[in-house]
Parts: sequence; structure tokens; C-alpha cells
Amino acid sequence: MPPTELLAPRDQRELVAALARTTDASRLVAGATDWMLGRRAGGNPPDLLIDLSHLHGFRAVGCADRRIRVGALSTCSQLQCDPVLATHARCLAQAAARVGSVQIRNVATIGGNVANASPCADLVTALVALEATATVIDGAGRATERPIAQLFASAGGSALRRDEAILEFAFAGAHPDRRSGFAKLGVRSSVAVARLNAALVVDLDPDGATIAAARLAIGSLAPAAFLAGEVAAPLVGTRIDAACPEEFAHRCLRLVDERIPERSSRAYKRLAIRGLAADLWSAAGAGTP
Amino acid sequence: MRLTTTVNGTEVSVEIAADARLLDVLRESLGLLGTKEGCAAGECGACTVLVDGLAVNACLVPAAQVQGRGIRTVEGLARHGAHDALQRRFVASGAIQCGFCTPGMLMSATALLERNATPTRAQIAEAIAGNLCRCTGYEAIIDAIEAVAAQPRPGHAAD
Ligand SMILES: Cc1cc2nc3c(=O)[nH]c(=O)nc-3n(C[C@H](O)[C@H](O)[C@H](O)COP(=O)(O)OP(=O)(O)OC[C@H]3O[C@@H](n4cnc5c(N)ncnc54)[C@H](O)[C@@H]3O)c2cc1C
Repeated sequence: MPPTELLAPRDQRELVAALARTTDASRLVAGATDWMLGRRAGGNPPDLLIDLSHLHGFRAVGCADRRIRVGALSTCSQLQCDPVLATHARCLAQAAARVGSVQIRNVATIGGNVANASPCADLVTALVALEATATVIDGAGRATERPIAQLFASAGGSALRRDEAILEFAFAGAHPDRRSGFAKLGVRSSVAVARLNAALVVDLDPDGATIAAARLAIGSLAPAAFLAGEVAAPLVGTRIDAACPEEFAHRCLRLVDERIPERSSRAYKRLAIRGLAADLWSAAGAGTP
Repeated sequence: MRLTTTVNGTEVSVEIAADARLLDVLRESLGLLGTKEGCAAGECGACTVLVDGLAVNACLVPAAQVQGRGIRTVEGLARHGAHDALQRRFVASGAIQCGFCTPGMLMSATALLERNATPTRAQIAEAIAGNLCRCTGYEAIIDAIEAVAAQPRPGHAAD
């Protein structure tokens, strides 16, 4: 078997040239926290390894044209203390803060979290709640902007082609009065993969009190995180300080019954989601004027 | 491929496979056996080293990614053959029992104290959440890190 060739593109042009050379046996790597585990699990070494970690132009968070843009190579450690996210997309910063340990967060990227397409990926859930899009580039140099849900295959796993890389994520961010939060449940309080996770985004009317829009995303209940419109929609039109957390939790519980009626984890998740809903409610600052 | 990087202040250059782990390069190519292999899955933190001052799991880092960067391992903590303040305090506080987690714990604690000279106990616990210890129950380790943080250090104003 010939040794693996390594390419470490430094900009978009070099990335496209590298992607153009991929075969079915080629792989992309960013922070490597998922990739290395897969590599250790066995199989042949890749013919070509494209190391995305030198794409420094896709490592930042910015705000332009009322959209927030997050480079795919941004690490969880960066995102958890990013001032733009702290103001406009707290659920994403909170999700990043709950990924693994300090050691994992220092290298794990948001692009890797999405491309790995795990049903319990924490950042995916926040991005779904934010109705994010992803800019993807391929080996022919074509860049397309896709809704985040289109990056996942319906049966689970990634829908990205082998010659595609995510460059950045974007979502509407300039809402003057947005509340958002993230919560998760794992087998222990840190360094635990989510048994359930959720992100809530609530936009208030100019009166600063009435809920104008609400979106809830839930992870670990389906092959990929999804928007639970039936849980969030009844919040619209109510006052933020009068919305009822118990009713919200009850709607979350009904969602578990509908989504996983047969699964052995249903009994646990029915109980767990009530606690998760309460955590989410306070993480998002809902219920407070 | 050739990897050139700085390890504990000294430039080193070794031949590596493109998908080699940093842990294997440190232990097998450079003979730095202080960095331990525990779970090999990023869960236990026994292999924690610093890359440009950030704590990482060397079992998950492709060695190729540290090209031209600065690595610090537990062997780099001692100065002129003498243990540094954290190492001395770990010994004095009984923060070491079997010792397998100790190199990783020391590196996580070093990364923390270099960024935050006066961490709370909660911040210390968070900083070592990715380092498992099956002997001490963690309290003695947190005590040791807290005690070092409380010591006046050259260049740090006492508060
Ligand atoms: C101990 C441990 C704890 C963890 N805890 C959590 C947790 O609490 N929550 C959580 O959500 N995850 C967790 N993870 C999983 C992992 O850390 C995250 O999914 C991380 O965000 C992956 O990012 P990465 O940069 O390391 O990806 P990599 O491992 O580099 O890549 C993952 C996959 O994505 C592809 N890829 C990477 N970047 C791109 C890109 N820009 N475009 C296209 N494809 C790309 C790679 O080819 C690969 O298939 C944990 C992992 C470990 C080992």
C-alpha cells in the first residue's frame, strides 16, 4: 500500500486544487477528534489526506449584512467565548462550551461537528435552531449555500460528497432582542456525548416582551437534529414572562412519544426531556422579562 | 514526511507517516515517555500535552498538524533538574497515587494557570474535567493547583 499523501491547503484556491484530486479513498481532517477515532478503528490508510487546519481564513466569527458568519475551522474553545455569539447566538456559544473537555474543545471544529453528522452533535442542534446555512465548495471550485439540514442524509450520516468541504456557516443575527440557549443531558456532567440535547431561539417584538418567533431544535431523537415546530409554535404571541415552562416541557414530552414510540430508550428520554426542557428554559433566559 | 517542530524548547526534526499520532511521535520517535497512553480515545487525558500553550490530547492530534509549532510535555516542566512549583505541590499534597494520570493533570493545570493565574475551584475542576484519576478522588489535585495559584510568582502582582 503506498504511503498516505498529505496536502495542507492554506487558502481556498489550494483547497479546491486538493479537493479536485480526491478519490473514494481520500479523507479530509480538521481537528481530528472524530477522524482519529475512525482511523484507529481500522481500515486502510487514506491515499490522500487533506488537512484543513491551515485554512486560517475560515477560523473567525464575523457579522456582515445582518448575517453572522462562522468559519468552519473555528474551534469550540473560540466559539464558547466569542463576543458576537454571546450577544446574538448564545445557544451556539453554550453548545460549544459543552463539547467534550478543554483538550477536545481546543481543537474540535464546528465544520467537523457538522460533517461528522452524529445524531447527538451539540453544535448541529444549535445551528438547526438558528436556521443556519452552510457554504460548501467542491473540487471544481463551485461554492453553494445550503440549508444545514441538507448536509445530512435522511437515513443518517453526511450528505457531503467526497470532494466537498464546508467553508462557513451563516445565520440571521441582527435581531435586536433575541434570547437563545442550549441544554444537554449526558451520562455525566462533562466529557459526555449527549443522550438528548436541545437549543431554543426566541425573538421578541419591538415591545421587548411578546414572542414574535420561536424555534426549538432537538438532537439525539432522530438521525439528525430537527426543528420541532409543534413545540415552539405555541410560544409565539405570548409574553416572554408569562409563557408557561410546564406546558413547554409537556409538549417536549409528547414529542418523545411521537418520535421514538418503539425505542428502548423512550422511558428514560420521557423523564429526561422534562429536566432538559427546564434547563433549556433558563439557559435561554425565557420566563424573565 | 519530515516533521520539524519545537519540543520543550528544542527544535527536533523526525520522519513521520502522514497520519501518525503526536503521541506516538513523542513516545516512540523522541523517547519522551512521560506522556502516557491511556484510553487512546480522548476520554482520559493521560496524554495531555500543550501545543502553542493549549492543552490537547496527543492521542488524537495528527503529528503533521504540529509542524513548526511549540510542544510542551511533562518533561519540559522541570527547570535545571528541579521540579516546578506544580510538581512539588502535587508531591507534597498527596495529589499523586499511582501516578499514571499525573503528567496529563500537570499539563492541564499548567495550561490553566498560564491563562488564569487565580482560578476558582470550579474553574480548576473544569480545566481537569478531561483528565481521569482513579486514585485520588480529585480533591487533593484541586487543592494542589489551588495552592500553587495562591503563591506569589515572579512577574505576578500578589492580590
Ligand atoms: C472524548 C470526546 C468527547 C467528545 N464530546 C463531544 C460532545 O460533547 N459533543 C459533540 O458534539 N461532539 C463531541 N465529540 C465529537 C467531536 O469532538 C466533534 O464532533 C468535533 O466537533 C469534530 O470536529 P473535528 O474538527 O475534530 O473533526 P474531524 O475529526 O477533523 O473530522 C470529522 C469528520 O468531518 C470531516 N470534516 C471536518 N471538517 C470538515 C469540513 N470543513 N468540510 C467537510 N468535511 C469536514 C472529516 O473528513 C471527518 O469525516 C467528542 C469527541 C471525543 C473524542
